[in-house]
Amino acid sequence: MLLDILKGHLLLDAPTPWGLFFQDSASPQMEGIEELHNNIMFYLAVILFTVTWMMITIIRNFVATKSPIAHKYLNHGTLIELIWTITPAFILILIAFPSFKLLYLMDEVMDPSLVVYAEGHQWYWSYQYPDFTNEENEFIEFDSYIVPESDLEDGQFRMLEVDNRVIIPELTHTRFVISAADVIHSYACPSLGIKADAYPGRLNQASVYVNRPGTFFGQCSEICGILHSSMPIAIQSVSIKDFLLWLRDQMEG
Amino acid sequence: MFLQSVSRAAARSSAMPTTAIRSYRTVSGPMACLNARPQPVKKSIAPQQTRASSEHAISNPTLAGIEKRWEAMPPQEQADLWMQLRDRMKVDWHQMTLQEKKAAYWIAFGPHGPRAQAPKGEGLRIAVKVAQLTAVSVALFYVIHLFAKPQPKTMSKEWQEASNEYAKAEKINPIYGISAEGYEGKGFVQSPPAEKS
Ligand SMILES: [Cu+2]
Repeated sequence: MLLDILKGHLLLDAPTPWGLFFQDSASPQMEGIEELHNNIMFYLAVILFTVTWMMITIIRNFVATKSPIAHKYLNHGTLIELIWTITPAFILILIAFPSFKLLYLMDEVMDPSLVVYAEGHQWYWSYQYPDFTNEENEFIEFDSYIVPESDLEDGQFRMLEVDNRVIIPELTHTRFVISAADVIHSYACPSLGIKADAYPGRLNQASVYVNRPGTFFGQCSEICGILHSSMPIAIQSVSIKDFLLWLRDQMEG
Repeated sequence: MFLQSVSRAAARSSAMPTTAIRSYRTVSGPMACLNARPQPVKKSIAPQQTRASSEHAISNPTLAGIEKRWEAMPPQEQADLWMQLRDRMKVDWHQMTLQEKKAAYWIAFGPHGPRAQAPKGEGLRIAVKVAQLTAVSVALFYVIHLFAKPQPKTMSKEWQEASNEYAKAEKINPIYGISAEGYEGKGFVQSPPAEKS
């Protein structure tokens, strides 16, 4: 099993068994998050080894047999206090700068060419595509419910499959506008690197630019009631041509 | 019980709440004197705290074999002795007798009270007890597990192999996962084949 982990097959759009690392990224945002994660893990490793070494050294050199007198009235050392205050502050700065850079880059929704409105309900998601209307001024609108275990077709993912997927075109800047109808939900999709709380009476937005075709699964990520686990998210990215064909189907149907 | 001893220890601050862990004698007097902060001390000890430094060495018999007698001494005597030693330490330490230096060191840092040697085999007894309790929890888990619902039908080798085909058709995980070129892992397969019923 450890070998499997080392072989990297756990670097995994859908969750996989024993998946310990991220799912494959499908957007520049997720790539940024992964890189930040790896950067921070580097500092973490350095800190872990340093602190472990310090602890072991202290234990070995100050056992009662080696150092029988307890210096219980020695409680100040200005130099060492400066060192152990300034060093962590410096490490925090090294982590904070790339972190804030990524945060503000992700926060910005760059001139999107498509808007998808996602609304959380107890317990399903509903979607609207307000950009496209037919002659009666209607826009695309549908609900997306979980597929129950008894209705799954062979090989489909339990607790992740939905009856109506969100279809978005690849290589297109898309704005997800996120809100809720009843309680707080959270719209999340790991492969796309998005997670935004859905508040009733409030609009949140997330920028999505999918750089490959595929199907990406996510789940409601804010505890919202008893079926919180049964309102999954499935986003399918298709070529622009296929998207336009789907759009025509929806408008006519 | 534990809370009581913690509050007592907090008041004294130099002793640890050991009474809750092991039945050490609670050495109230000397510990109180070791502490620099003013605090409630028994009335009989209080006047001694203000005594000036003493230039008269404490007699050897008083200090002889203090390691063996200390823990059996009543707290009052312990306090008196420690106060005498403390006064002696206020003068030039070169004037202290060897016996006094040894006694002062032993009372302050010696293996008694919270620093006493753990009873023999205590580590082993703790390890055994922890192992016992862990075994009980594991047993309890398995008993509860007996009443669990059966696993969902998706937890079978056949279903998960179908998941692999499905994932490839949907181009899922094309970078490092199942749809990647040259991928050799098991994909979604993690369960044994379904039992024929
Ligand atoms: Cu929810």
